[in-house]
Amino acid sequence: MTAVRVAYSCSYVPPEWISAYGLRPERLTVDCSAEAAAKDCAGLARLQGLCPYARAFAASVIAQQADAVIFTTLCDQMRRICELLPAEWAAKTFLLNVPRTWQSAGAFRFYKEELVRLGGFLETFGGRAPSSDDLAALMSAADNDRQECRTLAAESFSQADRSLKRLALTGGPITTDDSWLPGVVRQHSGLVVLDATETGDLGQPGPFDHRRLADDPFDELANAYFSIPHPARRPNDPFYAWLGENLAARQIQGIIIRRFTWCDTWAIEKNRMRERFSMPVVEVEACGGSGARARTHSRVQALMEAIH
Amino acid sequence: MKPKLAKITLDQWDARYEELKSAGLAEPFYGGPLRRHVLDGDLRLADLKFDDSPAALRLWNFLLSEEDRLFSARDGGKKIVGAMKDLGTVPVMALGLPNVVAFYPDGAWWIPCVMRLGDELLGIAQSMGAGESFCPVRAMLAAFATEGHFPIPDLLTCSVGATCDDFSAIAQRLTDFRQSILWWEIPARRVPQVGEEAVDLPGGLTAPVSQVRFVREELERVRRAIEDMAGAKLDDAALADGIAKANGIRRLLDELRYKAYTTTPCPMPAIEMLVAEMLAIHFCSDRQECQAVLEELLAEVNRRIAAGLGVQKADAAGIFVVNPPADLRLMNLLEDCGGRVCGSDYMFGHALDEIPPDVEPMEALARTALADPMAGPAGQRADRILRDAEAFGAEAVLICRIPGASHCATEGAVIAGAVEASASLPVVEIEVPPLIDSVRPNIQTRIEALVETARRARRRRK
Amino acid sequence: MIYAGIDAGSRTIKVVLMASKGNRIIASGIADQGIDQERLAMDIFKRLISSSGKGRKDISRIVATGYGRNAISSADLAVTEITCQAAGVRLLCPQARTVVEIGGQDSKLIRLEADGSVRDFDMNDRCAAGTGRFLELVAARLGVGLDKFGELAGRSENPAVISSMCAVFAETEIIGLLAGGASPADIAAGVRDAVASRLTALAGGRLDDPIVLTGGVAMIPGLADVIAKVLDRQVQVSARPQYTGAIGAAIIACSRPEHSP
Repeated sequence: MTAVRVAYSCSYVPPEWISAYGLRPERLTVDCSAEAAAKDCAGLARLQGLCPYARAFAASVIAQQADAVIFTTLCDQMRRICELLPAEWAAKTFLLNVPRTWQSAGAFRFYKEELVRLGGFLETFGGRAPSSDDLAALMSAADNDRQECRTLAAESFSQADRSLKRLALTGGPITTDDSWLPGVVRQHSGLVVLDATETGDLGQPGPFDHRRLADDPFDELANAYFSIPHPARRPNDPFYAWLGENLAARQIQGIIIRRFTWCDTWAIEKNRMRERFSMPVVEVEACGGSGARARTHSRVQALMEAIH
Repeated sequence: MKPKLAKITLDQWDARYEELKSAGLAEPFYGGPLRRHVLDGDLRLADLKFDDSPAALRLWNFLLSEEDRLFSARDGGKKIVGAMKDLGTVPVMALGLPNVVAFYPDGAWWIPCVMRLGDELLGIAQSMGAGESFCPVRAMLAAFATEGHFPIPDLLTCSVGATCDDFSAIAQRLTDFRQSILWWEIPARRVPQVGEEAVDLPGGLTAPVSQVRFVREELERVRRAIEDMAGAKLDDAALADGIAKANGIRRLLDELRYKAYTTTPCPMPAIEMLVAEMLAIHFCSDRQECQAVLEELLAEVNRRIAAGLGVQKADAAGIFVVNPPADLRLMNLLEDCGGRVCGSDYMFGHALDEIPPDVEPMEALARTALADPMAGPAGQRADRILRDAEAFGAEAVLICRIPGASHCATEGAVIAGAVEASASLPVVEIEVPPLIDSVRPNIQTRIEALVETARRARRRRK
Repeated sequence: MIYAGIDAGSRTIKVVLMASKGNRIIASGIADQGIDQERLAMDIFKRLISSSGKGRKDISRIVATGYGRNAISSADLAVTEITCQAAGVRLLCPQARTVVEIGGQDSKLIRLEADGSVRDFDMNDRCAAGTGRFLELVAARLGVGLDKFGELAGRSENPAVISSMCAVFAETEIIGLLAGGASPADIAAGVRDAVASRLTALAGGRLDDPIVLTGGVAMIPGLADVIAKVLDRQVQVSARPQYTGAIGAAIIACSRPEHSP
């Protein structure tokens, strides 16, 4: 039997939790081309001021025929797309409330309650609530995978050509439209050594605490994901603490912010990054289509020229 | 045929004011001719048309003197709470303490309009990183930076979660210049699932008990912060007193709205009604005076209804207005095009509903906060609009899009779709920038077409 | 040794020949942009060489910049306008710490280090409403040449408000304003102010003095004053504002090591 495919986009959806219910988590690869959006999601294409990522995500859900989709409240437009998607396609959707605040015990408890509610949703697809041992085993395996990725990334960084200029890439989720970007950076003698996008290192939970994992795996799972330092959290000081630490560790010389048009969460951070870090910061359009590529190319080249 | 009352320009108000003063007009301490606000920089008033009653004069003077009131509250040793984003909850809490006043810095979003961009707030906000992809509420960011439009609050709160991303980002930017913020969470309201304990909220909504409990805990944090700031206990009795006072205002507004929106001919212009409704959110930081202002306005409406007097022709098309327009002049334009307001949803419907008086105060406030239309699905907001449009006898719906606002990209379509599907009312969505002058011909064409369509439908029904 | 800088902008192509000794400008030329950028550039280039009494072999290196820089195959190197503007301004106004460039296709704000190198920059290359092209469109709509635009705007007593961020919609607004009886002077002033206010977004509140204005649009009378007012700073117009990019390209050509491209 083929496992039920559960699509999601947000870092605060723990894939281990979906797997633990016996379903298949899929962080969707979003096709940002206008053609895809128009073909698969015509109803949303006419909306003015809609974030291109939100539109493309909806189109990708339809194109990739996921069985269920999990949205979160971390982005206002994605929250609202969750309401509109059923009119476009007979998907079962679930809206996970992710608190923007992180400093109160109530916010964490609320997030845990939401994960439990998500479990209920997964059960409607035949999923079964996991035992603590099963959940702990899955979490350990996922933690090991992530640790392996981190080790590989560290090795890759240590072996990177020192003559190349080192950049951080920040911003919203990576889409198929972005695959050419590292090449452009490379063309101008640069290398992205920190992926601080929502789909990159920024969106990964920290390593699990093995003692807590053994005691109460669900609590540890929730804690690790709840602690992801997304810039939309309020206040977003943990994002800057994380970014500052990683910029220093990777000796970053410049920052590229990829921003989807209308995404104010990332838009406001450009000036703030500049004020905090003494390095050039440039913003490029994500999902901007072919017209944006020439602009992006120029901006990236100029950024590289500005790094001494 | 009964005479139609004239709406008058600012110039005409100069003469009218002299006439009223000669006749012995008694004014509150913030009274005076409207012209004085223009001299203070509120240039847009010179482009507007107003109701000519003393009640309307008092309403405008009350609204436009809020800045003075806040500065004098500060000078008088009162503590000031700036409540951001939540509309109609935190100021009610503040009402419970005599040495505290609350206001909404969000209201700064109208400054670019009222000052005809004279204060350059949008440009300043832009230079701080909040450009044109943000809602005009970015003017608030600049108002904090310039410190000229309101005193810097002793406590600044901001609700986040199921709110708009524009606002959340702007508020975050505020923290970069010495403004610490008490963030409190408002989750996305949802319908209780099978087996989940449900709680009734104002406005005919329901929510799971777990969400209400969470919001209540969050508001408890706000309560403690207000207490710390004020150095006084905000106990349940004080809160209940605040709620009772706020409900008094809400009942007044309820009656005013019902009479103004359902009586033909329309007894009060659209622009004064918009201003009156705004008072529901924070009473312009003086609840007692707010009540007096609204009572006088209601008395004027009652007098006109009794006399059969109206400000619009009897055949004006009844328009339900969704979202507050960024330019006040839109309300004049709507009437110039042959429309009248028959109902409104300015995104704070929950601030017009009575706060439940029969439950514990914090529980009541949590339920009210969770009933915020922005926190719930657009479909629920559309349901309420449909219900109200029918109750007020609206013949068409006008949706004002707020440029850059993250919720407007989808919400307008949901509301328009629901109106078309269920009520068979014509509906139009327009984008309203802070100054509509340059897009006026386009907007006017759409509103006129909406009015014509509504009238045609009326003729078909007869 | 002689070096060349070619600035293939969206509206015009500028070429500068420069002697390495003392970074002395030997010759410069300009032509309207067209379909065949390479040919247009080379035509100016050849004309300048010839008028200077030199031959092609005398030119040690060519650096292209501008919107069409990658289309100039004769160039040895393509460098962005950001870097070239900074280098050009460094020569013409050595003290400058901020460069504002309003070109035909985009506008830029470049912050410089004390040594003239680029610290960081911002570009408005998406919204035509902040560009020279937009001013040109409006001038045509109002029936005046771009050279008279500043003078027309200067006669305004009540500048119109242009609210749209998109040039296409802004043009619609202008039609609406004309239909509503706004005077051409008020519309011109409104557009001029809108272009200037776009720069505040780029400025990000972080401007170091002195501020230098470059680009073809800098030659519009009165524009520098409006930008100064919007930025609340003194703004000086660079010498030869249309040529700063090409001059910068030539300087970069001079400064490259002998055997590098």
